[in-house]
This record gives sequence, structure tokens and C-alpha cells, in this order.
Amino acid sequence: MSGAPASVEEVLERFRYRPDEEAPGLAELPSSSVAPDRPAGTDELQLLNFGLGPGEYAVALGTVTEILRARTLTEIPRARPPLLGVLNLRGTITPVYDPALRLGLPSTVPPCAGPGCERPPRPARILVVRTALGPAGLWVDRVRGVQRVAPGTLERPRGGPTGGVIGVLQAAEASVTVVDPEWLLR
Amino acid sequence: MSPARSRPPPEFASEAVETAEALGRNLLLLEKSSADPDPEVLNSVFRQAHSLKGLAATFGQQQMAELAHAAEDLLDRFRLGKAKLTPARLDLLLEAVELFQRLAEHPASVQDEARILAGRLSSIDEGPERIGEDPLDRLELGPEVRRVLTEFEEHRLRETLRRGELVWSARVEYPLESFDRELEQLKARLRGVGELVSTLPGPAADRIDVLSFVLIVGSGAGEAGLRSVFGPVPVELRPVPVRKERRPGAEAEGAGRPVEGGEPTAARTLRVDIARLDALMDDVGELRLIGEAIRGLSDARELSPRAWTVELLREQRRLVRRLDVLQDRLLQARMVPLRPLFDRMQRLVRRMAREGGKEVVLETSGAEVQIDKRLVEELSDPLVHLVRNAIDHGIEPAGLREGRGKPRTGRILLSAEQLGARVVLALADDGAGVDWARVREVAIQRGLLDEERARAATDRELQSVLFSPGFSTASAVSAMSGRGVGLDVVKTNIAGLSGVIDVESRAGEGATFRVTLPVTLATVRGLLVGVSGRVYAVPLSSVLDVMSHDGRHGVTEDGRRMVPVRGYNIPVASLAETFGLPRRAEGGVYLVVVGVAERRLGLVVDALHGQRDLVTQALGPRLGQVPGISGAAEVGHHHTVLVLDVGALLDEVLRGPPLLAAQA
Repeated sequence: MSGAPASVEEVLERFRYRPDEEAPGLAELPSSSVAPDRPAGTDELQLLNFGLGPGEYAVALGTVTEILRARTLTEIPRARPPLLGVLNLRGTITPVYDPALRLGLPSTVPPCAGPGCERPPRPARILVVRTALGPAGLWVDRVRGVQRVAPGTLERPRGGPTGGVIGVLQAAEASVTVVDPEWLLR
Repeated sequence: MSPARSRPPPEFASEAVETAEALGRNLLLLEKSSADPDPEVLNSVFRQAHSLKGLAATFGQQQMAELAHAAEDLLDRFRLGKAKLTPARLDLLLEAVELFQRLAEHPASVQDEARILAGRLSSIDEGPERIGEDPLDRLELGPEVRRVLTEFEEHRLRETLRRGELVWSARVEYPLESFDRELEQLKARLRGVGELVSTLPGPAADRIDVLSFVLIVGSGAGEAGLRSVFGPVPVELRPVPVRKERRPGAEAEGAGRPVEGGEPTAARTLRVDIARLDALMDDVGELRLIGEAIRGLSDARELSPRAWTVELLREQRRLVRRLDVLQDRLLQARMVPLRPLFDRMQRLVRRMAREGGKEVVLETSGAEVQIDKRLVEELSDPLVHLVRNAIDHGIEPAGLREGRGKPRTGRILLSAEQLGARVVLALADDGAGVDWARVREVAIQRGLLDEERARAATDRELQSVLFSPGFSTASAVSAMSGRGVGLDVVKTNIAGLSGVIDVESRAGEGATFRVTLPVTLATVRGLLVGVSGRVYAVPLSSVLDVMSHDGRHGVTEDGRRMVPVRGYNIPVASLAETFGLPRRAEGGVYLVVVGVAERRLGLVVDALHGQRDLVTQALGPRLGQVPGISGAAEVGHHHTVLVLDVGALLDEVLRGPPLLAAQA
């Protein structure tokens, strides 16, 4: 049972301001599902970049409604991966998934639900995405920020999208894989 | 406005249709007495049109708002005696009712018709102007009374005088806690004797627990007749004299104020007895005192730390006690009778039977049972589903029924009964019953069960198939019964209300769907139990017993573990095992005995963490039905626990593992 915090320190922890809680690019999140008005002709993509293990990934910014600091989740009995657990998002029970498995990567999520759970690493975030079946969360190791790119710079997979990979963005430091969040939840 | 933007939300449509239906019913009542329309019915039709206008305007349904406005305006003229109610005009209004219903559902399709009808309604001529002097001016009513009379009340007084009846003023006192009921009853008793035209505040009463009223009554009955209507209550009754001559200058003072607007419309409002609110105010007063006491403690420097702690704890206990009382009273205030919901089903049955060409009557019992307002709202959809199901698939066509030796008219019984902290709603039809053989076949076709298991399954075991999502996709059911009705949705909705649904069917005799719900949802009292380091909440309404358990049990022939509890052997299951959690080193072990209807189960848990009031939330469509879990509730900062679905656990343990795995 946890309601009771173990120490004063733990209580204070919840109130401390941390600059890294401010996820980057929040101000640029569109406030509604209506596509933001763009000047005609410019067809640039807004991407939210995040990291999983050593890899860099991105999803279309419009699909993300909120970025939460990772927190411990409530375990769902008999749930199978990639479902990690649920959290209560202002009264809406929101399932949280591990995207790594879908991408064929080893999971980097520490035990985050149930009795053995650890305090999530400071940079970890939960991206809340809007789906036809209500909100869902994706646990990511870090959020990099928002990037605007011209569609031409995105290398599409030959022969159309494969799986949930929409394209790859070649950047100086590393390549960024742009994925479909709905596919990650499947 | 673009068509896309003008598409009304579903909650608008349902409320608009409901209001329009009520309006239509009242118009039909008026039809029977169009020569001398009952002012009360006329008034309520007027208010309904007004509500509809407000509703339509709120949701940006301009065409409906305009039509409702035209109807309201005409009805206002009827009730003020400015226009005459004729059968032809009534037909126009009934036409408007039809249009309201179509506008609510498909606004785009009937825009033009609505515009034309609104025009016709507004073009109805004013009735003949009143000629000569106003008879009201000869009535010896003080200017202070004349000033507060509404235009409608003035009209009713004129009608009284026109009929050659007398206007009476009656001064009465009614107890504060029951005056509204008393006035309603008086109004009912006056029917046929006279008419309560206006209820005005009377002079201050001597006692503080009574309210004094001056009632303006129109009546042709003599004083004795009128007095008997008032019953044993002391009443100062006097006729209002009518002067022979008109008092000059009276009309200036008597200028009526504008007609009062309608009542706020919304299914989300709640009528609360004023006495209940008063009690709540008392609680708040008490809480303020506690707040003061705590503030006082904060600068009580003379106290030793120990004494200070004792004082603080004392105040804390007072606070908790008072909060408990407050919560109880608020829960009480949220309780409403099921009657409106039952009435709605009554209308639904009538309409559906007509549309489906079937003969069906709905009988109800237990409409007075009270449940939480929010439950009533959330219960509506699943109940509509079940009623629709019963009519579509349960009740046979009249001819077929006769052939089977049943009465032509199908019968559906909707009943409610309160059993402790639970309410059991049952919907029983005398139709064909569930075709289990067909269910078995479809389950195999859909790959929900393998053949062997399906053949071996008893009808009761097949229940869970009936309620599973895979079963009721449109194609599966259309093959079976012609319509994609999702019983899984009903089950999910009910589970979201911490309820359980069950079906009992006798082939050829009918089916009974039974829904067991907690009385209130605002909070569910839950017992928090610990299992392998996890915490789950068990709704206290299904906990029958809690005891320590030494882990010993007997085993039946078919491998079920049983434990004797108070002289009976009941099946037991370890929650850790059921949920596939690692077993923990044996610590204190408890048995939580849970039950739904006649079934019992002992759940073995490792810890008890006390009781909590929980506000439960559904797990949502993405997770769908999670076997054994009905919802989640927050018990502390960012700490969410899952609430056990006792009914599903019973099914699972008593009938074998869930037929469908978690939709993770």
C-alpha cells in the first residue's frame, strides 16, 4: 500500500521545481485536434523527437496531446507486453505501453508497476497520444524536442511504409526514425 | 453555419427528443378539452416548448430554436387567452413535434419544412382584442398584489370572473419542511372545486418553522366547500369583493410584469429537499468551528507538545466524524427514484413495439427505489440496449406466440429491488429465450471456443460467451439474430458502474437479465487487500465476511478447493494464483468471502489495508474488459488501485479460466 510516503524528503520531492519537468516544445503543442492553420503551400512536418535506448525516434507532433514525467504505474494483472500498466490522467484511466518491443528493441523500461517498481529515471517521459480508443501512453527514455522538417527531407521506405515506420530523417549526428504511434500501441 | 458544424451532439438529440415527446403527449391531452383547455396542461406545454427553445439555442440548433420559439409564442397566446386553441392549430403544433424529433436527429434533412412551419405558426392571428374595461380593475385586490401578478395569473382571474365565479384570498401557514408538498396536495384537492391562481408570500408568521402564504383562488364553490378543501389547517378565507364601478387609475399600478421564463432544463440538475440543504449548512457550520479550533491551537503556546498533540488529534477526530456525516448527507441528496428511467423505458417499448409491429406491454415494479443520480444516467444506455434486445430478439411476433400457446401480447417486466447496499434490476420477457445451441455454434464458428469445450460447456458457462466482445460483432450476431446488438457493451457499461450482469433463460419461456448495482457510485466503499505486494480494492457491497485463514482446505472430486465457513463449504481461490502473481512468503493470510446473488467465493489474500471510499473509473475502451477487474480508483497522490470485478472472479473460479484472455 503506498499512499503513505516513506519520508518527509519524499513528500517535498513532489513539490520541488525541476527545470527538466518542463518538457521541451510544450508551447508548440496544438491545443485541439483541428489541424493548425498553416500558410498554404508550406507543407512542413512537425515532429516530436524522443529517444529509446541508443536510438532516436519521432512521431508527428499533432498526435501527442501531453507529455508527462514518467511515474510508477498500476499493474494490470495478467497483462501481456507491451502493456506496462495504467495511470490515472485526471480521472481517465490511461494505459501505458512500451514502444521498444514493437520496434524490435530490447526494453529499457525499468520495473515501473507492481511491488518491485523503481523510481523512474529522471529523463523518462510518457507521451500521451490520442487514439480512436481514448488516450494511451508511450514510455520513452527521453524527449528531445520539436523539429520542423520539409517533407522532402524525409526518406520514405521504398515500396511504401513498412510496419509503423513512416520514414527516416538523416541528420548530422544520428538518423531519426519517424513512426506511427498507433502502430506502436498495436 | 456549415452542415458539419451544425451536427448536434448525441446528448442534445436525446434530450430534445425526450422533451418533444413529452410535449406531444401533453398536446394530445389538450385535444380532449380544446374548448376549455386545462390551464395547467397548457402551462406545461408552454414550458416544454420554452425548454426546447433554450436547449436548441444552447447547442446552436438555430432552426429548431426558431420553430420552438414560434410554438412557444403561439402557446403563450393560448394560455393568456389572446388566441383561441382550435383543432387545426393543434394539428400544426403536433406537426411541429414531429419535426422537432427529426430536427434532433437529422437537422439537415428538414430545414426547409421547419422554416415553413415556423412561419405558419407565427402567422396565426391574434385573437380579438379585449374590448371595453378590464373586469380585473373592479376586483378589490391591493396594488401590492396586482403588481406581482403575472400576465398569466391576471388572465386566469379574468376567466374566473367571466365564468361568474368568485375570487378568494386564503391565508394559510405550512411547516417549513413540507410546504411544497402541502401546496401540491392542495392544488390537487382544488381540482374540480376551483383553481389556485397565485401563491403569494404572506405576512411574517409568529413561528420560525412555518411559512405563511396568501393564496389567490378562483372558485364557484361556496365558502364551506372551499374550506373543506383546506382540511384541518387553520385558514383565513375571505372573498375578494368586486366593486360595481371601475376605480380610476387602477390599470397603471396593475401593469403586469413580463411572463416568467421557463425552468432551467438539463438532465444534470437535481432537485433537493430544502431540509437536506439546511442540514448540510449545519454541517458546514460545524466544520467552521473545527477550523477555528485548529487555528486556536496554532497559537496555543502555553500547551506542552504532548497536550498540543492530544488536542490536535481530538480536533482531527471531530473533523473526520463531521466529514463522514457530511458525506452521508451528500450521498443522500444525490439519491433519486428510478421512476423517470422506468417511464422512459415505457415510452421506448411503446415506440419500438409499434415500429417492429409487435404487441408488447412493459410492466414495472419498484420504480420508487432510489439510486444515485449518476447511476440513473449511466444506466439508461444499457437498459435501452436490453429492452431493445428483448423486443427484437425475445418477444415473438403475435402469430407465432399464439401458435406456441402464449398470449398474443408479449410481456416484459422491469423490476427493481434494493437489497442492502445493492440494487437489483431485472428485465424479464416471456419470449423465446436464448438459443444456447445457436450460441454454442456461433462461439465455435468465431473461434471463441474449441468444439470440445463448447460441447462440454453448460448453458451457464456459455453466458460469458454471450457477453464477450468477439461474440457480438455485427456479423456474428446478424447471422444469429438479425441485428448487431453488443451485449459486451452492456456488460462493460455495467461493470464500469461496479455492477454485474447475469442472464437466466428458459427455452420457449423467456429470458431474464439481472443487473446488480451498488446503490451509489459517487463513492464505493472498498476493502483494500494486499496480494503479493499489490493492492486491490474489493467493493464492500459484495464482501460478506473476512476471517483469518490457515491455508488448509479440502478438495472436491473435480479439483475445487473448499473451506468450511460458518457451517458451509465454500470454494476458495488464491488471488495471487488467479492473477498469476508470484507467491509471497507466508505471512498473515486472510480469507475474504465475497458473494453475488447466491454464489460465494473465498479469496485468499495476504494483507488487509482497511476500508476506503473510492471514486471508481472505468478502464476505458482500449483495455476493454480486463478479466477480474471492473475499474480503477485513486487512493492517494498518483496511486491508483484496481477494483476487483467480483462477479467475473466468481465466474472464473467457479466455471474455469476466462474464455478470452486479457486484451492487452
